[in-house]
Amino acid sequence: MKRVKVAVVGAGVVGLSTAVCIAETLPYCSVTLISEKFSPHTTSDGAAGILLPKEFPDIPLEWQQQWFKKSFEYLLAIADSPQASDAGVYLSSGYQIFKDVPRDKKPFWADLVFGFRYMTDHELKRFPDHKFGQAFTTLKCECLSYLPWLEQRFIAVGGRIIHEKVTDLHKLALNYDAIINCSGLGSRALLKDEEVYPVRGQILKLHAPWLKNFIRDGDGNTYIYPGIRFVSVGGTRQADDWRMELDERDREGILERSVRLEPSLRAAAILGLL
Amino acid sequence: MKVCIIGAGVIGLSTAQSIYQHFHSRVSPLTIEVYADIFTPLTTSDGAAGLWQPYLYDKGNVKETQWNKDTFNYLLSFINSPDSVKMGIFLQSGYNLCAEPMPEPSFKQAVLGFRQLSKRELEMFPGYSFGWFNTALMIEGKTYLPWLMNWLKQRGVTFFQRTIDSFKELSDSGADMIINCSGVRSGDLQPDPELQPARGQIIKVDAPWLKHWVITHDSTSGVYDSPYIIPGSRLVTVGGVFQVGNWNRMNSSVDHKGIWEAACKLEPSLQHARIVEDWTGLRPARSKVRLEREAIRSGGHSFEVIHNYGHGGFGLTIHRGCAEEAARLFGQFLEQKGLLTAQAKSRL
Repeated sequence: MKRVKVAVVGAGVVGLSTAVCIAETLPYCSVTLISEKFSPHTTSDGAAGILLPKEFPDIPLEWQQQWFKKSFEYLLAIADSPQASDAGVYLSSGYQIFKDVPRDKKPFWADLVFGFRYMTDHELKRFPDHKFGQAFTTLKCECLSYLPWLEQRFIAVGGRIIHEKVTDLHKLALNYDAIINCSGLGSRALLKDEEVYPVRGQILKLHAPWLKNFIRDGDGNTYIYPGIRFVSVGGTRQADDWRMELDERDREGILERSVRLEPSLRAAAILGLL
Repeated sequence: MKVCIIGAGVIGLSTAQSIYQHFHSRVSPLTIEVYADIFTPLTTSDGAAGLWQPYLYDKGNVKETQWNKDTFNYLLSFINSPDSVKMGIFLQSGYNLCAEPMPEPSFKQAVLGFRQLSKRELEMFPGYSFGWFNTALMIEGKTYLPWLMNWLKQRGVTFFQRTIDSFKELSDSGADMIINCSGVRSGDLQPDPELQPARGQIIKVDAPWLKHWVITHDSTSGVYDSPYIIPGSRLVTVGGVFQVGNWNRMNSSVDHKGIWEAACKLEPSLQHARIVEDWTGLRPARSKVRLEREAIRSGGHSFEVIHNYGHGGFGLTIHRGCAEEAARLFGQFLEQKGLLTAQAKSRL
């Protein structure tokens, strides 16, 4: 008899994995996932899905290391299983390159990915504008596959799904014992949390199946992530920018910068824009 | 000066290219003709996965190690050029796995970022306790050979679809130099007990989430006789077998089953991959590459042949180094004939 009624708000990667975690680990909970958007319309779906953490200054480093370590090991087990292609999880190797040598040459996650090392001079020859680089193997988790796969797992353990926009947590609380809020950017309106703000990103989806390794500029503004069916090329990082429409100038900038890093992209066909 | 090349696989075509590049402006007229009964996409070079990687150890063949390295550097020089995709060249990283510690391979200096695998990484590959990771190049025959043929055609090299039965046949029809790039069938032109087919069978699958090549090494079974998985630009090549002395060009369902089971054990995600087709090819295996001049006596006179065959399972890997060496031997021949001035002027 499931005595505790849990509601999870938001069906992006955070909400869905939280819902699955609770439903699979706590059998006395009945879990309901409520969200306005589901895959392929969540923010998670647009992300390339590369496991490459960013350091948050106000969270203890050991916590960030633990969270990343657990995520990495959990996804590695999926990548190493027959489920890998259904879940969209697989190994991805590549370079992170820097125009100037960064202060922190070895980030907190260096020992958590595979084979982290500095690029050799021979390898850096390809990138004349960049003085330093890191090479490593990490994982890629493509939400276009991963989210539907998680949804199946959720339903398999009795999870319930409601397609609805939550606008009032107090009202929700009348029907549930616990609420887990994973509404991402939606929390700004839902909780009136002004500290939550959008950072707009634009990418292109290119058909370049010969590309196997990723390249990321350490400044975060240019990246090339080969995926299962297309290569995600980006990007932009525009704080407080709510625009969902494509920006032509952004697109040109992204193409120009990425072709400079990976000239073979000139031969790639554009499959889509996001 | 008429040069006739036998064979239109990667060896024949790249030899034609090197000879053209070095001598078209130093010898006039220079006629280059390529004779073959099989052209792309049906050559041995077309079926190969296209990973640049020599055998682990060169057994003292230091020239071959140098030719392999020269080829790698040559291909790498195209990586940032607009032609890389048209040539079928791209980078790919991957794993070489061994069941026990082994000495470092001959190619460790040639490739990018060569390192040993960590214990953590090896946990992904049960049964393998040692290995290396590096970034290497892919050179896909099905793209590279048409690019080479086009390159040659644009420069006046002509092609003839014919089976050549003897070197003499070409010499009698006016060839000043014959270059034998006939691969596994060179024995038909001149018996060579050291040349044997090493039959390979592969399975091509659709598994686009795989982004690394994985080659396993088993000291008991020998090179390419243990599983390997090599993602290409469209499909993934899964192998392999290395059956010396087996001339059978037909796909074997027994080999298919063995290859598939071993590969799925190595890479569990393959179980959900769509199998597209099987292919069988005969590697031209030899104790070492035969790359040398030979003067053949026939009747009252003699004629010259340069042999360039026996590249086993590393033809694409070594092709450019060998082509340049063949061109060097041809230059030697021209000098001996007094057809090449010491100080080369660009035009007569």
